[in-house]
Amino acid sequence: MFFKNLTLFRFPKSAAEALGDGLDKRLKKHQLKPCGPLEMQARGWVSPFGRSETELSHQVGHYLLLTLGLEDKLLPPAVVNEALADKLEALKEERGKPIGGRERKRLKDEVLTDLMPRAFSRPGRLNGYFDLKRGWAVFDTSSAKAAEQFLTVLRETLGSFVAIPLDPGESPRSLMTGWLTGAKLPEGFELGNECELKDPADTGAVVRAKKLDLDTAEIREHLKSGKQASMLGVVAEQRSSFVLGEDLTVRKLKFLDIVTEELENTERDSARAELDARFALMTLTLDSTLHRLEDVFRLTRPRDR
Amino acid sequence: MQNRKNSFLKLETPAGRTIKVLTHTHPRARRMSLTVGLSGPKLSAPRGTHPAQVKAFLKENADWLERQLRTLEKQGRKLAPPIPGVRDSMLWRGEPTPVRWDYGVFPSIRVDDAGVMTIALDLEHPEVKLIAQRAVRAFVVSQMKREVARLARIFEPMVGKSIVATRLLPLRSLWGSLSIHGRMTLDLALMLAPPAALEYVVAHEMSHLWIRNHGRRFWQRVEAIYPDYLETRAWLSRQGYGVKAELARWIGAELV
Repeated sequence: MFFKNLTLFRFPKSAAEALGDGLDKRLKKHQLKPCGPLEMQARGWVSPFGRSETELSHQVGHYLLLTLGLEDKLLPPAVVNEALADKLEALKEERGKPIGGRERKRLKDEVLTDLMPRAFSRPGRLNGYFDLKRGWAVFDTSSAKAAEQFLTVLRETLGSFVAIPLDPGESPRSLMTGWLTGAKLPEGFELGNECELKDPADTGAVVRAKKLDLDTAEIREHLKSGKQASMLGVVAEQRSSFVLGEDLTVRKLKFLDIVTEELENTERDSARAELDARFALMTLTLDSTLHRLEDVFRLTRPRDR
Repeated sequence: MQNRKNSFLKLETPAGRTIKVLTHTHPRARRMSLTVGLSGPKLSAPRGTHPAQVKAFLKENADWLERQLRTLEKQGRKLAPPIPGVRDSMLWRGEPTPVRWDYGVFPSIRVDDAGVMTIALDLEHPEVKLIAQRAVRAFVVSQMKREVARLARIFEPMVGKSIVATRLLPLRSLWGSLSIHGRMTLDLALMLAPPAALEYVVAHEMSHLWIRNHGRRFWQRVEAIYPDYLETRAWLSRQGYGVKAELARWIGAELV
């Protein structure tokens, strides 16, 4: 269950308290229910341990893991349009005159009602963990929209939950460009082999480099012409590698051999123990990385009112 | 006005001057509004406005329009862009700051304690002008990011709410805005104005976290967290376009 991407939010101390006592009871009330015949999607909590388990949260130290279950109906617009066109054609022939806009809308609703119970439901899971001590909400996705969905369901469950996206006090573009042009990287950070360089003007050129030593003449030429790093591959403390975006979304997160070897040395006799060990190892590894990002980009935790 | 979304109208002013005004229909416009930006005067009107109404509105405001254009001209609109290698000066935090050019492998900018701005870049590069524009824009963004974060930390406890994110862009006529989701957009030109201008605009936008309109209660709130707001607001109305023009001169911006 190692996370592959990270979308980060911060929350104040009071929000951490809301995740404390009685959480499981509240989560149970918002458990995932299968998508009804006339519903396009369903959201709710599922067990982080898997389908057969009943526990809806898992806590290791001050890290709390939750899993949002997702079900989305697959109803391609092309299928709906085809069925609608058939109906319109038949009705037009029957009446001998074109069909108006209002009638067309009514027919579309009819088609949707007819097709929805027959559509497949695509299941999905989205993991997120909460660092209750330092106020980090970490979601296993690179999509801000998916992370917001997770938070929306959590807000419905708890009544309210204050969490805001990162708003760095230092420009990530400037700092990351500085690292590429020779400025000292934060302690424990090294350059990876991937980057995206952008012209500072919004409509400017974009250059993407993968599997390339970033300290080469090719990259330097782009930097000389004033392009700036909007994504940068980073190796953190020899334990993980990732691509850091200018919005501070972490993509392509990989835990390096030194971490996975530690996992092999622990005893795991069940799926539950496996998840427990992986979660503990991942949160500890990410803890120092997030702490470093907080310092470098001046990511302040929201205060309580 | 009904058939064409954008068109130009010629206006004869009482002083005998002919002004070209861009007229533009906007689906969400509820009334006619006349603004003067760096690209000239622009009139927005609701869809379906009769051309005669537009002409009458322009005629009514011809004096005002002429005054605005004169002020802009006095403030040095359409200033010549800087030439890398040639000494110049840039308005920075309200002060004319001498600009010195230096050779550097990678573009970088710093302002030293003596208040001299040094722009280092490859002065022999065939695209040196473009590189200078990119470097200045990146410098303004990075400095402003830091300053806005500092101000947000000061105003947050007073307002009791936080900004979700900030976006820093060159803007045509606005100084800032706040989205319904709490995202604040600010004009990069505010870094060229005296520090009070940025302080006021951040205080103004953050006050919108309380009240979304510009009513009496809103201005009371602004005054509570930024008492000198009237003075700064007047400065922005008087000198604002000069500052925007100066930024456009340095970053070659297409103002949005």
